[in-house]
Amino acid sequence: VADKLGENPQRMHDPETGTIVGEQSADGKAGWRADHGHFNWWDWTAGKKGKGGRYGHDYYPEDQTGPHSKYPGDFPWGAP
Amino acid sequence: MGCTLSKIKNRLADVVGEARYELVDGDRYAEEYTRLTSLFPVPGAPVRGPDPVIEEDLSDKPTAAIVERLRSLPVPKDAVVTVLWPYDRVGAKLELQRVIDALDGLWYPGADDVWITDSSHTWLILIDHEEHLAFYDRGSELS
Repeated sequence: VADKLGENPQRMHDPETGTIVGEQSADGKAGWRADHGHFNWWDWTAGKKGKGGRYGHDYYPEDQTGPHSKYPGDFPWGAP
Repeated sequence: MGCTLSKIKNRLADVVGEARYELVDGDRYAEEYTRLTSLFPVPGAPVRGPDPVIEEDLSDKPTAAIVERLRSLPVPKDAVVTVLWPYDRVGAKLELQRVIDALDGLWYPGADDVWITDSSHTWLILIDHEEHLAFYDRGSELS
């Protein structure tokens, strides 16, 4: 996914630690985001589901969750 | 906000058409978000009910099957609904039928949650980034 983010990716930061908890391309078609207990990634640059697109959710123990996106919309996507 | 606003606007323009939706952003978005989190147990909401009437994992389904599942929900398809993309803090008002028809271009699994409701705020469709569908209906508790 990292090579699909383009020159001006948007980033999501945890404001308490300044840690980057997500990145996405300007059009949102490729990116990743750390959520509570899992890590999401997506690459829809080649097409959507079943048509070349790829995505996934990698799970880990919730007590091992570090800085993450919290609830949807808590932290905004923005400039790097 | 500007970057993600453009992202969702571009999607809407591409798959719905410029004149066929009304953007919901800024204070209007915040008002709708606050209202929905006060009525339904969406992520981050302070309320714990009502329980969903329908709750399904659609992650092994093709998008066409998810679209058909949405068509089957007991809500009027000609209703004008508000769709929120909470990760992007923006929404749009348009006919539910258009949302369903254009779902593949409006919702990106892995990235997006979408919340859909109408002006009555008695029901809510939630499709999350892990492809879980939840349908909430407050109609029975209100009657």
